[in-house]
Amino acid sequence: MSPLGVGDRWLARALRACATLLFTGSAVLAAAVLARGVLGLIENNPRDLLPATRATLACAGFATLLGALPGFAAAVYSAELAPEAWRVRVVRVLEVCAALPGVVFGFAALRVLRVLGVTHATTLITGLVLAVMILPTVALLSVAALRCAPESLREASEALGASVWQTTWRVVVPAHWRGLAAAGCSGFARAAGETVAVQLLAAHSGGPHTLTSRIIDELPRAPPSSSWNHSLFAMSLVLLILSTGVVLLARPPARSSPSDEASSRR
Amino acid sequence: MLALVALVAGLLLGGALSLRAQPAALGPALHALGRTVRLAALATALALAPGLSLGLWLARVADDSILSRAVRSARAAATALPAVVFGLAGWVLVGVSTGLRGTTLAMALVLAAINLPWLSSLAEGALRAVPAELEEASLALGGSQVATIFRVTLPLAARGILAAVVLCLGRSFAECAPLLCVAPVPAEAPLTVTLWLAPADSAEAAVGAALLAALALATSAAGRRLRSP
Repeated sequence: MSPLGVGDRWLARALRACATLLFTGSAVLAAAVLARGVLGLIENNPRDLLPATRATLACAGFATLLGALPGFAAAVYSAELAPEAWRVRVVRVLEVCAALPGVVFGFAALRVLRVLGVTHATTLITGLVLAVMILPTVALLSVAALRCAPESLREASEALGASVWQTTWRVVVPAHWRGLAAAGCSGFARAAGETVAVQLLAAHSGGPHTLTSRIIDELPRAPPSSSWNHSLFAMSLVLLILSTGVVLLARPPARSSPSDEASSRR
Repeated sequence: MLALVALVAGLLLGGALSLRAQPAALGPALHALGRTVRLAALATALALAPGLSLGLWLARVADDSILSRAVRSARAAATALPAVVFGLAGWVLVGVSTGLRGTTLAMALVLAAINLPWLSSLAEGALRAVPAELEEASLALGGSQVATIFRVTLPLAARGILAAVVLCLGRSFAECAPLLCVAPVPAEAPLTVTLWLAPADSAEAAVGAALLAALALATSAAGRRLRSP
C-alpha cells in the first residue's frame, strides 16, 4: 500500500519514529548487557564458564533427546493419523500444557521426586523434567509444520493406492523433516533458556547448576559492578549465542522446505 | 499425552485437596492471583501501543529499507532470547534508576519488553491477513490512507490483534525468572514468584500451582476461541 499520499505522511513519520525509538532503546540496553558480558569475559578466566555451559548443554541435550521424539509422535498422530475429533483434542491439551509456567513444572517435579523418594536430581532427571516441559512446544510446532503439507501431496499418494500410514511415513514426514528439525531446535532453545524449573531442582534437590540457574541464584548476592556480577552477564552472553545460534540453525532449511516454496509461488 | 493430562489433572486435584485440608491457604493465593492479573494487564497495556504501531509500520508502511530490515532481524533475535537475559537488561535499568527497584512498574516494563516482539509480529500477521481488495475499495471510494487504516484495516484485524493480546497476557502470567532479577524480594509478588518462594510441600504452593494451571487453561481457551472464527 506504500507510497503514502501527501496528507498521510505524518502517520508514516510517526510510525517510523516509533520504530526507530524502539530499535534505539533496545540497542542501548543490549549494548549495556553485552558490554558487561565482555567485561566479565575479560575480568574472569573464561574457563570458569565451562562447568555451567556444560551443564546447560547436557540438560538441554537430554531434554531434546527425550522430549522431541514423543513430541513428533504426538504431532504426527494429531496431524495425520487421528480421527477428526481427536485431532482438536490433542492440540488443545498441548496448548494448555505449553502455557503452563516453568515454575509449575519445577514444583510438580519436586513433588514427584519426593513421592518417589529421589533425593538427588541428577542431570538426567533434570533433562527428563525439561523434556516433559518442551514436549508440548515441539509437538505444536511440528503440527504446524505438518499442516503445511499440501492436500494434493496426500491425495496423490493415496490415489496411487498407499494407505494413510504409508502416506504419512513415506510422503508427508520425509517432505517435512526440516520443519520437524526446526521444532526440535526450538525445543532445545527453550530447554536451554528455562530458568526457574532448573533452579528449583538445583536449590532443593542438588540438581546441576546450569547457566540460567546460576544467573538467577547469584544475581542478588553478587555486588553490582564486581567481577562476579560481570561473570553472570558473560553467562547470559553464552546463553544468547547458544539460543540465537540454534534458532539460526533451524531457520534457513525451514525456509527451503517444499511446502514453503509452493506457498511462496502462490 | 496421557502423562501431560495426568500432570494438569494432578495439579488441579492436588490444589483442591490441600485447599480442603487448609482453607486458609486460599486467601494469600487469591491476593497473589490478583497481583498477577494486575501486573500482566499493565505489562500488556505498556506493550500494546508500541507493538501495534511497529506491526502496522512493518505490515503497511515500511518499504525494504535498512531500518526495517534491522528492526525485523532484531525482533527475530529478541523472540529467540531466553527470558532471563531480558531480566538482566531489566537489572541494568533498575540499577540506573534505583527508584524502580522492586516495583510493579519495573516488573511490568520487563514483561512488556519480553512481549513486545511477539505482539508486534502477531499484529503484523493479523494486519497482513486483511484482504487488499477491501483496502483498495476504501481508497477507490476516496478514503485517505489514515481513514483506510483506522476504519478498514484495524477493525478487520481486531480479532487477530485481540488473540495476540490474550497470548501476551498468558505469557505474562507464566513468567517468573526475569521478575526475580528486577525485584529480588518483591512486596507485590505475583503468583509465580510466591510459588517459587513457597516450600514445595506447603498447601500454599499446591494451591498456587493449581491456580496457575487453571489460568493457563483459561488463557488457552480464550486464545482458541479468538483464533477460530
